[in-house]
Amino acid sequence: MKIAVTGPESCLGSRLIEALHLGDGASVAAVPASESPTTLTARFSIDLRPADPCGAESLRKAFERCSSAIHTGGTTALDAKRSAIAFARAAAGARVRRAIYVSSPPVPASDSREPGAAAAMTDYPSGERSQAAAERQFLSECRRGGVNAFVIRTGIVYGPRSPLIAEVAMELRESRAWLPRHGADAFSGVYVDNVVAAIRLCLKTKAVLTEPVVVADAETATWRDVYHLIAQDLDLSGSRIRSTPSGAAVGQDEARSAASNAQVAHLVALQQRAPKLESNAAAKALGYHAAVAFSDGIRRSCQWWRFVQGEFEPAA
Amino acid sequence: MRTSTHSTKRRAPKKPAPEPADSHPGLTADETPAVRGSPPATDVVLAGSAATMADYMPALRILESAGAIRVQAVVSREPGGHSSLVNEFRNARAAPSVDKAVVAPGALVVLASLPHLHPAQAGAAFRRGWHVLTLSPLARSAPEAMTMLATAQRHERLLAVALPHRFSAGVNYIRVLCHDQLIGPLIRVDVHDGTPPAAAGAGGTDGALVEPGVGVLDLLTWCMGPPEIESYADDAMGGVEANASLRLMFPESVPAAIHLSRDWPTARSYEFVFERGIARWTPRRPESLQLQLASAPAALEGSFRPALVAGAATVPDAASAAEADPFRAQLQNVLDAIARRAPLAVPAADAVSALAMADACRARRTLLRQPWLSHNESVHARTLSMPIGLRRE
Repeated sequence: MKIAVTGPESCLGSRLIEALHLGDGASVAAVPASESPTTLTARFSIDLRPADPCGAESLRKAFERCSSAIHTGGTTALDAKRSAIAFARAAAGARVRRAIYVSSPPVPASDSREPGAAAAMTDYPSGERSQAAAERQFLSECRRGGVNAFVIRTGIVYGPRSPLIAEVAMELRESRAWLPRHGADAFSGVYVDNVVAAIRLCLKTKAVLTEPVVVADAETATWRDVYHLIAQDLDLSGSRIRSTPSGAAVGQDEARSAASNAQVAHLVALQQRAPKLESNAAAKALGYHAAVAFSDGIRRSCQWWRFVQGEFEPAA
Repeated sequence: MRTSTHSTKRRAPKKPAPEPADSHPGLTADETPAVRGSPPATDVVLAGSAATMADYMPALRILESAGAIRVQAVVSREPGGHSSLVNEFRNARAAPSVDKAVVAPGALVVLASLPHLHPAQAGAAFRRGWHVLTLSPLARSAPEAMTMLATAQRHERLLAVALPHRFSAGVNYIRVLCHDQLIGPLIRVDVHDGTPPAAAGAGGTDGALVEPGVGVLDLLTWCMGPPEIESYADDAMGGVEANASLRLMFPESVPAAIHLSRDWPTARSYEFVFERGIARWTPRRPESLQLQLASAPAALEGSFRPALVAGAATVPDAASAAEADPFRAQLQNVLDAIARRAPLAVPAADAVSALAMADACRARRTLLRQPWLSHNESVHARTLSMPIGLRRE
């Protein structure tokens, strides 16, 4: 019986397939969205089953003869609820035994908190509220369909093929990196292999979880740590990172650059809004612990960045 | 005898009124349709999608407006895959296959479909009496290409392969620098090319060595002559490669390092380092070049114009973007070859050596080290990367 993985070309989906197929020798079915490229999946000789991520019947066919199905994200906040419901109904219809839904946590809109403090549900903008609603719908539909369901909430997933790593590396290379509040805000990231470890636990556990569990790195790192470690691992000078005591950009040029570059603006927003995540519930319910340390995760991410820049060696 | 007042002489046909110049915006006077004496338009069939045909669209529009071609059919296997192309050309009709397109013999079909479809589609085109221009790569392997060539010869039809870099002013300038050593002998070459496909249709099932690899190999061989392959490694683990690394040695001991990727966007940069300067070219701007001359305080960057002549009274204008378009130049050459006005500049046989080089790379491939994989994952990856008969699991 196979393990179906949606979003196989994403940072998490591609790493999960590498781990399951190469590491565990598991039989995997990759389920990309019908019009998506499948470059990374095509490196392997595995079952490819394109489907509509918001279509229950399309997904049900893709999940046939699978014992488990894993949703690795890649949908927008707008589609989150539809895709979560479709995923759950498809899993039930295909008689999948376990369905695992990986979800990003709600991020508060307000910037009035102290850095690192937990945020209240009422702070969340409507997009993130719909993500939480999607999780509830997913759990409810799975219960109705007799599927053992798990919701894993992650922070920013970083690692090979992570847009975050790529953007920070580019900022550093082009000397346009800057940190609001001197980068003191908590970095709510989780190295991709730690999420894979949590997924593996969900595939094996006899526990029945009725609530989402948060999966995070063990250490409390800051955004300053992220930038400086990446600069160090990529041999880029730390002095290229500018910072300000407030949330404002440094100088007119940086403000214009930040305003015009959607990805930089997104990174700035992440730095300002994310709380520190704790994975105590995952530890208790699943026996989860973050096996890959933060510094090791950044190092491996930088190894991947060098790889896609053409700095590679043949295997020994 | 009745005398007829009606003249018995045949009247000359009425000349159509010349179209005003502004009914063909973007065309120079030379490009507006001639009223009399111009060669008949060549019927054209497009096989592919708007995405795969994108680079050729400006040239196709201009040539149709100029009356040089008439796009009669668009072939796509996907339902609705041809709709935007059909809307683009007023005479074009959709067809699900080459066999079902209603177009007379003597037409030209532009195959912008995936390489694995080229042999069957080209064969069907030749049987219809059409000539064929395929986008690169011509085929997935040298033997497959040779079979297509033989079929073309049997039907006495032209088979051309689109290698627009051979018509690019930037690449030809570099070629002259290499041949004539105008800034000294070539020392080394570094190439980074490839981008992730935009959609499933554009990506296909071929790896980075096929697209963009075959085109890269042709460009370098065109500039420097055939190389020796020193090493080839990629990340295929039972499937097709997303990333590849080639090391070649060109004549006069010039090493070349080539990085190909369909996994992550590359710089798409071709850097030629000479003894007394550096030339850098990118397919993103095929008609421009960056040039660093020896210890000059700055690099030059720009497009091309006719060579300067000292003391000349007038300076010829640079070519317009449309005139300089290498895709248009190649299309025009194929049309001229069909009409026997000029020899085919890039016959398909030219593309076989690059395909043969790609085949030779595969025969000696090793696995690229992916350092983020665990030890167990790396061991299994190495096993899967071997041919099935050599695996010991």
